[in-house]
Amino acid sequence: MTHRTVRGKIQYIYEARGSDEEFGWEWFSITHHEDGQHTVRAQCEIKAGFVAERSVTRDVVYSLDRQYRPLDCFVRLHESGHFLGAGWFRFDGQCAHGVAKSVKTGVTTQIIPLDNPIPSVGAHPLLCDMLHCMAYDHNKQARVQRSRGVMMTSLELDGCSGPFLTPHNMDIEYLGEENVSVPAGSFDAEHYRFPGVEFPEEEVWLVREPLQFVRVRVGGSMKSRYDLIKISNE
Amino acid sequence: MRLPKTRNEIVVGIMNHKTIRGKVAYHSHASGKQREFGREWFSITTHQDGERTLRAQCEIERGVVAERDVLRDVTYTTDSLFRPVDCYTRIHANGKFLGAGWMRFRGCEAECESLSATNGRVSQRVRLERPARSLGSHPVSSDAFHLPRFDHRLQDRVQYQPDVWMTSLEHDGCSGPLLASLPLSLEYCGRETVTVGAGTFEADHYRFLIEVATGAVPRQHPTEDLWCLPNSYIFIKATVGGYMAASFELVELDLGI
Repeated sequence: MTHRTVRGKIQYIYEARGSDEEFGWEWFSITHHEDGQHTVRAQCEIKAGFVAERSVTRDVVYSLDRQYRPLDCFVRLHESGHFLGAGWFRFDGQCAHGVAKSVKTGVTTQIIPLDNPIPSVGAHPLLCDMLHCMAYDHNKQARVQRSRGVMMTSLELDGCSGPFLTPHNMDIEYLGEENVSVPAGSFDAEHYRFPGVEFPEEEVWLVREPLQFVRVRVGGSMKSRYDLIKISNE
Repeated sequence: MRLPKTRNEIVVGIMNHKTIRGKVAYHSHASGKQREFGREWFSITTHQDGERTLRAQCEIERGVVAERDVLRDVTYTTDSLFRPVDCYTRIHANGKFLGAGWMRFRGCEAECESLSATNGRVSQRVRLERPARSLGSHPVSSDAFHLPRFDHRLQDRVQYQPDVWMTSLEHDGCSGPLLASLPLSLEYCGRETVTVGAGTFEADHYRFLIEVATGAVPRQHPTEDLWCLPNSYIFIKATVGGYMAASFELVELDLGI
């Protein structure tokens, strides 16, 4: 079997109150399949009282093609210990398809015609934030590039609604290479920024080859950082 | 977005779910010598509302169960009585995408939306004679989730189960995913002390008597013995005889304490 899997854990640290407070975790793995597909699995836990007054647990299994374009994504959410919603979303180039059930909206099906293949999915694990950056084209001159039609599974900051697909445009700015130290080690990382418009400004540090999450920082009222604290390659 | 209340108005940082994590190693001596032919990483979260979510990533190497490699992702949720709520499955066969699907159960209805390289896009609706009591999604850690079906209040040591729902009838789960049902019998063999790589446990021993099935499976499935923790049904060990000559043992367990 020639696939490769990386497993890790991310710590969520709230900084808005002047000191570091751990407010969540994300256990993840990424498998790079023999046929070029990538599968990202993430289990996220967010405590109540930081991003919102609710706790959130989230399961995501998100698969992408060889060029990191979305194929399908499963999301399951609990809000404050109670089931909120689950859904499966597929992207075939012509349409985005969604089927979901939620305690708030019942069973919903969605078919969204696409003018262009979607660049990425915002399913809310930090791993998905990293994967937005894989749509950035380093062959282009533009330092700030617009990602049109990113499919969000929720527009809440903590991702705690739906899940339901909503197209969203976002800008991605490349800020260069930086050496970044996190508890899992020191990495020569690529640094990107999502300028804050509808969401708070966010910075992402990642290693592109082989792909690895390093750190995310979110500004504004949600001032927080998300550090890689464990990593293992198999 | 709703604005957060002040810290004094809410219970900050309390989460009442519990998650355990583990790893299972698959071994076989079918070729005459012991060989590791697969592995499974799993976690089970018991939510505050009683739902259980089992996540598993399974790897099966070719040559023991079938002449194909299988990679499988499963996210399977049950209610507080271990009855299926929904299940997402994604399968690679021999390194290539085979299929993915999401199954949902509600009362006497089961639904499956799937996409596969073999069948294309499939929507499936099944009217059930009675609400589903378990789903075979193929991680061995989820095999234990069939066992709450066994009614310990009854005298019968062997209990017939007419409608066990499966995501695939292949022994390695490498088809579909598509809903299918399978009859089998469960035997309770008693409580035993079992030692595996993750430790020594007092476990309940059950047997899946799949040979009583009436031709529903493409190939006769050998008898499977399974040991799990009482009440929580956390997988400890399984053995499968016949052509597989396989054992599946918990080698890592983090109880999240």
